[in-house]
Amino acid sequence: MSETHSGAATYKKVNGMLRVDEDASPANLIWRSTDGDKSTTIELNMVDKLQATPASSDKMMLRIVGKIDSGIKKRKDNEGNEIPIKPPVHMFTFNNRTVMDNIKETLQHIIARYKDEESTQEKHKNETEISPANTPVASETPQPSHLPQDLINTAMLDSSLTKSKLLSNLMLQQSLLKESKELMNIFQDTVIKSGLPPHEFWSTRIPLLRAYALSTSQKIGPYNVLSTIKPVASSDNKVNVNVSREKIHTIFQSYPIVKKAYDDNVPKNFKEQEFWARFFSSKLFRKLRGERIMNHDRGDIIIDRYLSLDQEYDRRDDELLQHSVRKTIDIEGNLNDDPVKKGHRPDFTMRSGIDPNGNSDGGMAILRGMNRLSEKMVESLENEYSRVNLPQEDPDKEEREEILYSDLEKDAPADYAEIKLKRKVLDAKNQQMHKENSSVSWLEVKNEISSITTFMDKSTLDLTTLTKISPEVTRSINQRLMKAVKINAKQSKHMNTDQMLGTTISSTSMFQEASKESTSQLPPSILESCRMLNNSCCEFLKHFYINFQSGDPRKTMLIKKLYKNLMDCQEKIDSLLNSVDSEENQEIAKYCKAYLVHVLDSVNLGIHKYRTLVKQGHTA
Amino acid sequence: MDAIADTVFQGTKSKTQEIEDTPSLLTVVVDTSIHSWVQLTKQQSGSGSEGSSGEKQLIEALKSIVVFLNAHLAFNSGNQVCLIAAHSEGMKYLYPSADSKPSMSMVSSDMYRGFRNVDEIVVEQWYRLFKEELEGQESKVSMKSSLSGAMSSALTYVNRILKENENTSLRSRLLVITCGTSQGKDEIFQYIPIMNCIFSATKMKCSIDVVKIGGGIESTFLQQATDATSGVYLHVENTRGLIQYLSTAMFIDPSLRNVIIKPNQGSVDFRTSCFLTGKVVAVGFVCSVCLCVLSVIPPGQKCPACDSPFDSKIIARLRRKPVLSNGVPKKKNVSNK
Repeated sequence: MSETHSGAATYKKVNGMLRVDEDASPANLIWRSTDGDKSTTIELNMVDKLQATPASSDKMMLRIVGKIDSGIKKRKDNEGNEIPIKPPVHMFTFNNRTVMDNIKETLQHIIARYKDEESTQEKHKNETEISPANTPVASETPQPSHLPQDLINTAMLDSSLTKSKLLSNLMLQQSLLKESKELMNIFQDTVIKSGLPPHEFWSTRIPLLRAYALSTSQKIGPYNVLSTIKPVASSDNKVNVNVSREKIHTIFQSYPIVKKAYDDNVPKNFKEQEFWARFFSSKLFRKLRGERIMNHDRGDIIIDRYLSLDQEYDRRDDELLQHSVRKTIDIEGNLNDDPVKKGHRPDFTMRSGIDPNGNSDGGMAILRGMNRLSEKMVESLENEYSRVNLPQEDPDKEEREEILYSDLEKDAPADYAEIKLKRKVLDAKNQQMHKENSSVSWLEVKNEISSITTFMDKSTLDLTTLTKISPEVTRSINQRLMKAVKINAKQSKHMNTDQMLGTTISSTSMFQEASKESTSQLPPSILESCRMLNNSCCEFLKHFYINFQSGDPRKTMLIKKLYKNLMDCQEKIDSLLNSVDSEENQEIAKYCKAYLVHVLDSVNLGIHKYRTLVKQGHTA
Repeated sequence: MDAIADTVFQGTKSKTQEIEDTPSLLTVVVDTSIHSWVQLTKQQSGSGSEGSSGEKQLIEALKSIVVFLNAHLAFNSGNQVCLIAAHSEGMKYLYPSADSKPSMSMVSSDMYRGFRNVDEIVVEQWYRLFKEELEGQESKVSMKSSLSGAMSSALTYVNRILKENENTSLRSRLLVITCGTSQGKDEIFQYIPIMNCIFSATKMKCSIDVVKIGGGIESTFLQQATDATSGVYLHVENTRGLIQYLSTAMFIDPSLRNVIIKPNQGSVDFRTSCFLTGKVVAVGFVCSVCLCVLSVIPPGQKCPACDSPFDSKIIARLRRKPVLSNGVPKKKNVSNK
């Protein structure tokens, strides 16, 4: 046991040894007299105050004031007044300043830890609604744990993304529906309300599912998680650490030793919070994080026991991570490893962590630790995203190729992508054009050209002739244009009442118009139902045609069902049109009809095609 | 006119004043393939209209274009013009031209110098264009119109000028003057290049206006081009009074495009044409590699445009006819929607 946790002290004028026992839960301060017949135990979670004589004073005393146990019955004095119960007080006297300071420090830490725990517990009791994120103590922030659930098996990515796997992955489909409201609407309308088989629905959306699966399965790779945890010193002499659930999960994954320590101690010895508080002040944490461990560092007595176990873990890792020895000699490496320059002693990176004198500054261990971590991180991705299926890299390939004599080999022929010009098609087109123009003979063309050139030869171009057009022609042209403009103006007024607004907005970009939604004359509810109807009709039509055209006799039942769905669609459109068609809102009925007439036509065509097919089947 | 004044101009008065100062670039592509013009002249003289009685249609068109260019130059000292001919043998820049020194004076020397600098080159290049064709052999003259090619180069020119004048925030528009024949859909085979033009024009925010002289009233793809770029499509019977059309309907400043009501007539046919048969299709097949549209399943199991091989299984599936349980196949018409 390290001597920081014990020391000689006098209690009630009896000499003895004072010892901090952190193994017990709660931790104890035990004093035992030298002869061993007297002892006192103070439970450290019951300590209220800790007082010590200042360094300037000659006396070296430590006073521990305990808490009042609320369970004790309140006594009454003679006059019936309640006597305030005196808290238990223990006084230890030391004869060595450093011993006292060490014990004092240890006690401070432990007591602070218990107090923090208490205060957080109280907080939780009193105001559960307060967000746990601002727990100011050295503790993890207990968040509702929702670690992302894997929708697909990323280790077998290739097979997870096949059509059949995607179609059977209900969880993936559900979460995609939750994500996309639009898709959800269509799904509800077609599959849930109208009985389109879900398999059918998804079969046309394989790429969508695949893209969604890929984008959601992106994972954060392993990283040096401990280096991201930064303890922050707060004003009241405490160290605050904020750790999220995900980070803890990552810590467990990257450092099995921490997982083991956690499993061993929680909840047997301490609560989860206490465990993390201890861990972050431990030497183990410093080691894993790659910091230098100083001898006088105060660690955590329990957690630091795992340091030795960790070395065992490291050794095992080293064995696992051993690289295969290359079969070829690295001449360049040998050149750098010049014994004349450096002697025969191995390089300092090759020597084990402790040098012959037995004292190590730990630098080597840190380097090794970091290397081990990096290699483990790379290794852990080996099986992700179907990397297993990739061809194995040959480590010696480069060397082998270097050795080969290749100067007599032929150069690889340059490979070009061939682009074919479709002369034939163009010629065929030209011939057709030629046929069209064959009514004009070359002679006529020649005459025309020569007349043009001679005309231009004769004189300068007289532009004034243009003004000699008769006024009737000009007027008729103007009228024609004006008429067209007037018709268009009327139309655009109907189409877009917000013309004035549009002009001011769209002056920035001339093609912006297309992106903004044109205002509609319809009330939003009717417009929305029109949209829904249109969407579901298109959905049914799509499935109907896919199966109808498939020519697969097994699909007959499905086609029949889809045909019935199309009939339903037709009915729905009709009923919608009838419902809006009334005397007072002729205008709305007109727009509804304009919106839906195309999809109605398509639905009717589909129905018609099915019927003729059935009729033919009967007559044959 | 009342309609325009009421709904549009009042609201944006302050804006227009501010916009008037920004210079703009006008690029004109004119279809000069002589065959169509000759055909047009023949038709109109045949139908007894007054078209052929006056001057040659091409000369008339040239004059109108020159005046139109001058008008554009007159609006703002920073305005620029470009004229490109889509000739039977290919496209040619008439202005600005590679040999910019005019040797013949073909326009009146009294003209305002700013106009004359442009007009002399335009007229002379125009003259040379036909002179060269006259001297050429018949066999060399191919019949295809290079309209889409000319439009593409016009857009590249616009792009270059816009890049050069980035700090002056130059605006641009493209006017296409094409000559239609009675056969109508003569630009049908240029669907893909014209689509490309449309995409780049929308990206550059350059609107495309189209004037179609003679021929059918509709012009599917050019109408699509104007619609997608908020341009004006106009069909006129002949070149008589062309300048009137140009100056009334084709002078919409790019900044006013989405404000002003355009004199477009009729509705745009948004369908596309089949790559193999040239028919306009409503429902068809699309190559997944080059997006070429087909009305029939192509022979040889590969795309006729890009040669990508098609999956034989999928082709077989497409060829399948719908069946019912009793196994009676049914003939199915895909493009019947």
